[in-house]
Amino acid sequence: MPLKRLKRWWNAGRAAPARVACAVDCAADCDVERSGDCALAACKAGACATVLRVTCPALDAHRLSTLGVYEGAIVSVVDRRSGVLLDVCGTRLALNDAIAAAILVRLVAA
Amino acid sequence: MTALAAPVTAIRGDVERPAARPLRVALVGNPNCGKSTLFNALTGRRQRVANYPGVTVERVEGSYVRDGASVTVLDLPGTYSLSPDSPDEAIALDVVHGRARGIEPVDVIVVVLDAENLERHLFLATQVLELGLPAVLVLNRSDRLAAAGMSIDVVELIHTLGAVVVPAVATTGEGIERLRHAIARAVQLPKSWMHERPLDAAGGPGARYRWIASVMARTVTRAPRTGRSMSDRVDAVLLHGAWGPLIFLAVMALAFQALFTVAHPLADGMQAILNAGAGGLRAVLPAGDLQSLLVDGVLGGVGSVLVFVPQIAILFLFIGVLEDSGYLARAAFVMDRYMRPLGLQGKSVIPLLSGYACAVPAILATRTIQHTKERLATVMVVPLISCSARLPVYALLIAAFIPATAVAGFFTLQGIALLAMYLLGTVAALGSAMLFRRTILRSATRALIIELPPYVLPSARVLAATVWQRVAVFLRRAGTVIFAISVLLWALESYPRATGAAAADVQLSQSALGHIGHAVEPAVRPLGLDWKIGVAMAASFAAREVFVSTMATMYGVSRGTGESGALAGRLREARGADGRVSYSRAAAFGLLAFYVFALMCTSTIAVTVRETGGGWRGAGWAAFQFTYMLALAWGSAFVVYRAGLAIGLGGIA
Repeated sequence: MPLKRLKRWWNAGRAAPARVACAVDCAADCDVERSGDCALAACKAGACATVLRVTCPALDAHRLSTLGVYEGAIVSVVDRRSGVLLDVCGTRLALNDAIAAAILVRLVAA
Repeated sequence: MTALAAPVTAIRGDVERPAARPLRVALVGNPNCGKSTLFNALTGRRQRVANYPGVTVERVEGSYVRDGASVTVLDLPGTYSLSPDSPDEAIALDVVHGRARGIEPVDVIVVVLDAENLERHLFLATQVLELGLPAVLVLNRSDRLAAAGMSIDVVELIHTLGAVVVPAVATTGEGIERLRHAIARAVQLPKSWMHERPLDAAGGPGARYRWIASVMARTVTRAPRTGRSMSDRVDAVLLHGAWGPLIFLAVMALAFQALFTVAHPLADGMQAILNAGAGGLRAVLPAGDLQSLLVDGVLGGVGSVLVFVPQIAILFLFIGVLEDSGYLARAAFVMDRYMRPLGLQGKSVIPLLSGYACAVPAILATRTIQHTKERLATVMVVPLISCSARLPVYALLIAAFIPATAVAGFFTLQGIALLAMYLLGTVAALGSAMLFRRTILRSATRALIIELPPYVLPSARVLAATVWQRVAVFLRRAGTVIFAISVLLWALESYPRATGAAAADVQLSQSALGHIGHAVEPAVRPLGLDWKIGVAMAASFAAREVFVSTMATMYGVSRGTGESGALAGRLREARGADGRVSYSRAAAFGLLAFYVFALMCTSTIAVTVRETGGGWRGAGWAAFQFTYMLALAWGSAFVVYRAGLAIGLGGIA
């Protein structure tokens, strides 16, 4: 049925279910294929990760930290289609790919 | 009351407030916490807006009366933390610390928190509590907690933070009276323990967030949310790589259509009222200098300001709806990747597109861009976009000098020429932005870090207040400058008086403006133009559409309907003393290029001065903008004219 195919195409890059809080364990419904350290820009939609290091310029790092992306924070990736859309403490934070590449994370789920 | 208050203030070690001075309250909070709505709920219509000295950050102040005493409320710009990150945030910080120039120190700080996003918003709240000033925390939007499956233990929160917490709903006014009571009492309460033991003494924002997480665990209970929220569902469409930008462009197209269909009748209506006023004055006053000053100078000048008001109001209503609903942040995010190669950011798209309607509201719209150099670059290039005031000039010159030859069926040479004018302006604007961001306004393009707030229905009251504030600011500041220049231009047109009862064209040629036209002739001669065009150009530096009416006067075509068609014929047939055509086609093309690039709009100059810092700084930027646009205009007119001559467009055929 073409409608089904259309729906599959539409859902290909679709947003993952929203996470509620920072500190919840979200291992259950994360569909990451491998665990390990990587840049946030390399994470798929639905991934849940702990921030290890923020290597962007100090001004941007400061802005990130006031918005909840600091070393040790838990974030989850909601959408990856244009830039990175994060769930941080229940709020949505949009980053472009350049800054997402400067954030080193460890995936929480295996 | 005072007997009770005195010992408490003495404990706080402060000097007691003189009874005559109203209590001063500052509202702080993250962007999108509903702060403006709360401000409106607190103060009602008793508001006024000004700028902080030396910066273009708006200062919104209001007041209310409680128990016979007046309370002044200052609505500070939204900020995520108490460390400055943008001009807006720096102002908020300065006011809170009581070191903002020209602003009296505040007595009470009200921190507005979005109850649904308590964790993130407590970051700022704990920083404010550490300052040790009397503070009240407001849990705004607390009516939404139940729907979100949340509950907050307010009493536990008060004990943990050591500060007053008031749940409220700004949109319905619930809890506002309680908040007013808490504000009145705040100065008498002891400081929060946080003043003595600041949180990040231990280790950065991480420590603060970890502590906040422990507070959240104690005070907030919530049911696990299933599925995606409404905002996420909408975002799945609006943030789509291909649909997102298309939807944004469709939304903007709708806005401009509204600008034309709604603002134009309003502007025409305003013009009709002014014309009626002018007719009335003509009937009452005897003909002479006084009548001419009042009708042509004063009413004409006021009119040239007022006709912008409907456009400004509608554009800001529209931007207000986009911003308050949460869509503006999405649009900036989606468009960012297309603006980045130009050295601009996603938020520059709205001012640039608004420029097609009118540069004045477009420059005011750059206020949403936080980064100073990106904002300046946007302000500098917006007037290059062909605005609606250029259309009459384009229409006149194209009708006069370009034949309506059909090309490829539906299109004519005239239509293609008009499109070319718009493209030329657009390319010049984008190219200049790129150039400026790589030279004089050089800085690393700031990373895109932007919060996407949940979608909400904008509050009509807040929208009305915002639109009114913008219009009032425009009328007050730009109005005075434009008015003064209009009167000056009237004087230049009217003096010295031609002897006897001279016709309008003779008077104009013998006036000071006519002399200016003759004086600038050497400058327009290389463009293949004469002094008559010089006069029209000199007059149209106030407002470019004046070109048409001045040319009509020069060629004795009566003002009014149909002037453009008759005038086009006159221009085509105009002959110099030697019998050769006055305006060759090459020269007309050059003149068109001139009008694409030249900054001929007093209102734009006035707004640029104001929005680039005011005073000498703003005047410097405006002078730079005017000069480079004039240089670009003259240079391209010269190149077009010479190239036209070279390919045999020296005559008119």
